[in-house]
Amino acid sequence: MTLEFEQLMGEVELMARLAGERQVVRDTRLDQIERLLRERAADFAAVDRYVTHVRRTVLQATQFRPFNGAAFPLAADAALDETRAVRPGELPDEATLIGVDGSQIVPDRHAAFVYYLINIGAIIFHHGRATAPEPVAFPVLRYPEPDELNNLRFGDGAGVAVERDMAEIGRLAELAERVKQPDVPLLALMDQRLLYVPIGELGPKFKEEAIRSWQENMNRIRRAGGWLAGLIDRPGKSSVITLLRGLMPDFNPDTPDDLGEWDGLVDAELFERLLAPGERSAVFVDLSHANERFAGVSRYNEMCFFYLNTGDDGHPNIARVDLPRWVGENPAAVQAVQALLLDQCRILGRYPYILARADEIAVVGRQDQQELEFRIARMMDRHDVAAAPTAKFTSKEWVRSGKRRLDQP
Amino acid sequence: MSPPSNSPEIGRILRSNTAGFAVGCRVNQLTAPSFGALVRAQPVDGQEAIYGLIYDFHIDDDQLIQRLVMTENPRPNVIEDQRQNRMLPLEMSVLTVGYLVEGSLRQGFPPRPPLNLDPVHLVVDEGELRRFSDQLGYFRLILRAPAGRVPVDQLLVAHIRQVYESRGEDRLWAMTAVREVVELLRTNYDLLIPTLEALSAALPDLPTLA
Repeated sequence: MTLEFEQLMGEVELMARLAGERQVVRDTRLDQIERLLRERAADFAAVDRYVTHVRRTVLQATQFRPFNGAAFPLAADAALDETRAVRPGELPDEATLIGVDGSQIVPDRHAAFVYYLINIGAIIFHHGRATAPEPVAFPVLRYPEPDELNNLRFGDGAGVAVERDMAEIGRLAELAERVKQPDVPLLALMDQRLLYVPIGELGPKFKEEAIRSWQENMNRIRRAGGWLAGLIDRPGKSSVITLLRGLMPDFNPDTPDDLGEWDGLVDAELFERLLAPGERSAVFVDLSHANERFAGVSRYNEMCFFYLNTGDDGHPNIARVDLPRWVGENPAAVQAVQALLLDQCRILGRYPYILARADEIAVVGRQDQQELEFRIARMMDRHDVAAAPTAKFTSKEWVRSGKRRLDQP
Repeated sequence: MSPPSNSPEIGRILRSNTAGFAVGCRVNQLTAPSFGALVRAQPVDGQEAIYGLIYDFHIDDDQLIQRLVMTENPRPNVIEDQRQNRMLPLEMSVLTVGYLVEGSLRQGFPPRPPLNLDPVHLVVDEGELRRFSDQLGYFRLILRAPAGRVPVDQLLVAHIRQVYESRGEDRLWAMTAVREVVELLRTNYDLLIPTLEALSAALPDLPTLA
């Protein structure tokens, strides 16, 4: 049955009107935040006081206190409203860029066979050379062992997502070690946050193991001599806004991450006003429990970031670029990363070409899944293994296979 | 007679019917074939072969290509990435004009069309090209091709010019071919005149066309 659109049109009209009013409120509050940012941009002492307060009362407190995260400039003399364009000569003549992405076929207990698939796609791009990039794919099929009669790990979508994340950074590290050449800079790029936090209902030990493995792969890229970056398009964090709130006269030290009426506003909206096309913000350090843990394992991996406008005149597009400290505290590396990312974005418009291609290589479409399952079924048949999808699965396939109106041929 | 083995493979059959077939190929296979060229679909058992003329190239796009087209001066490595690494469909349409069965070359439609994934070769061997083009009965098949789908006059002209050159600028063959065209089109003045004009432009050295 199709949706009854007529019943919804009144709500749709109201929704649009309220969105317009909401935009006015949003703009007014962003004006206030921007004014504060300009006024307090170089108030280094106030920033230091806020950071010290958060560290002492929240991050290093004996009893755990939730904290949504804030940020502060990495360089002691960096103003909060600092902007930086790429200058001539900062784009390396030659560089090796590796983009990586992953996708998965999640386990489905209603399907005919118990399995899941992780596919990692990567591309090695030789910046400054006319040679074709090298695409690579790493598909891995997981299925039960003979004595593994309990299908527990095949009903766990969150666990598979973590395994995919580990495979992404693992393959990235492997490729970085393989293709790094002396005197040619290497940028290893992911399309996700680098301050890794496993999401979902997972055991604490499993989470710890995942974070440890993630950091070990970061170390491999550092030891190979590469730079690592994670690009997040349309980021949703409010770290800098939280810091600014902490500089307000009515700041409540008991709730250092309370945004008050600024709740819901994100850094990207603020930096959209500050950054001209191609410009980046200062490099910030992430102030959070997760980053304390990262820095505790290895100071090199403490997470920093900058905001970057990858858009053009009249069409800003703010991305957050995560950098480990070993990259963030190297000004030449930061400039090269900014220049290389913008150069990549210019190929397609606003998003790095290597990430778009890595996604294309990694993604497992519906047709690929059907083909894989056909081949699995054929092979199972050869080994006299009979199975069928559940009735629910089959029915859903039928009703979702596309519908057409009766008056259409 | 069996087909020569020195012909370059230009792709494989995507789909076919009695009157023609579509060939899919990679970009790096596209340098050899050209509009009007004689090709041979070679079924895997090798006993039969089906001959045809390329009458259309179709190069597909997608949203990424459309985006790259809008950028100024796409970079060489990005162009190479698209051409070498991405699997965009590249298709040739072929009009069937003859076949080989039990070692005998015949002009006309084959008993069976080629099958999916049969390899397709460009006919470059002069002996094979001569054997096929010595008889001009296949011109009739070209002229009977659906005009809306096949650019009949342009196909004839391109093919005659290519065979003339491949046969070592065989003026006698070319004159015979032109006479055959005149004979076949004598009741179709609207097609004959532009075809002769195009032939005259393509082969200016032939005395009766100049």
